[in-house]
Amino acid sequence: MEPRPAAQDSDRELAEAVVASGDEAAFRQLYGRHTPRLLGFVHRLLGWDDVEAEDAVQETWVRVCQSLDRFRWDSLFSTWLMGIGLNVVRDRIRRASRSQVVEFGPAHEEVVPPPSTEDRIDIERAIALLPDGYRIILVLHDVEGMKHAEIADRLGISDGTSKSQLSHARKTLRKLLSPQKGA
Amino acid sequence: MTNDELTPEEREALEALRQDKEPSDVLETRTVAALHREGLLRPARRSHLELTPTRLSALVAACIALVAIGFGFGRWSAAPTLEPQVTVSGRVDATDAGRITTEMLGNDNAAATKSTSGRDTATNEVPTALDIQEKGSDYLLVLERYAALPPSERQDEAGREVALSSLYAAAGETVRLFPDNGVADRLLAVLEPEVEQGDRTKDETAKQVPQKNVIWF
Repeated sequence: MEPRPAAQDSDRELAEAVVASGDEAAFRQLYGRHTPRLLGFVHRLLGWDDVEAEDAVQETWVRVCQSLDRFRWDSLFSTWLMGIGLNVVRDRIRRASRSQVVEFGPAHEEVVPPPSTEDRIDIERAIALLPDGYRIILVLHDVEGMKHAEIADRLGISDGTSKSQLSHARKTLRKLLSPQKGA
Repeated sequence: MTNDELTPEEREALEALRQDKEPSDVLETRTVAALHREGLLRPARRSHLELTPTRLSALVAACIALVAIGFGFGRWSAAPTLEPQVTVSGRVDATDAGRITTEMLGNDNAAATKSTSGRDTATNEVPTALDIQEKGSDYLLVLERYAALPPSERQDEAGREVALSSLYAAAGETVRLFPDNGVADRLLAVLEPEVEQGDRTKDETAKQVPQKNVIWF
């Protein structure tokens, strides 16, 4: 068994203090250590929506603290945290009716290219314009560096669906980034 | 490379998006508030405050300031009440001073407890802080007047001994009253060799020098 890094031990100590006595100071340390990464992650998944992203982070921490006593520490705290963040994002997308269900099958939404066809649009904006299902898989794979098996496991889909969705997402992204002049 | 695969430029552009985002202070505040509402957190405890160098410096500075303020306040609170007593005592003429000196050096213990204010603070009265102050003023006054006497009229050896013994005894009583007071403790340590030296001299000349009584205040 590999020795855990010191930071992991420290995360555990802080988490145990939160669980044992609701220690606010311990929570603030945990929050300060992991929130910048969590916020960046959900910010990308939510298409760079600042307000939605901050709401998602708050909801993630509430869920984390609610289930902290059940965390078994057989994975990194940060991995577990990002997993909960991902679930919160999917729930928020559903609730906001951006799509009734976050579809990971063929996208039926029409992707509308941006009005300006003269210039390449910003890559962030292009990703934000992707259908939610496409965007989530593209961000997880191409930005976060996750493998298809891990994505499939986290989203409850097959590897094949993940690969297929990524392929569609990339094609759509290219279309958004290189619109034909005069279109 | 299939059409689905990313070009190096595309891969680089996408990976460059993987950045942390600094949260606002408001987000932390509202998250903590939400956790309090859920009953998942309790207020922060001091024991988890990190003792950073900045906090440590501030703590040391605060302690020094506190001691300095306490010392200054102590001096300020003592000075205005002591000064009038000394001034009043200063009106006593040289004859009275001589009488008190004689009483100090003589055998009349009862007379030695009579203060310049006329108040008798012998054992049947409960001593007060004012009594301590008055006796202290008397002691200072006697020393002052005694020092003003012509050298031919002074008994320097006896005067030095009784003055130091009184001071030593006073420091001893102060230490007994306020064991944590470092100043009196140090004064006691400084005076001890002097008084012991005086005692040895006294033993050697016991037959020549009359027994002395000391004003204890």
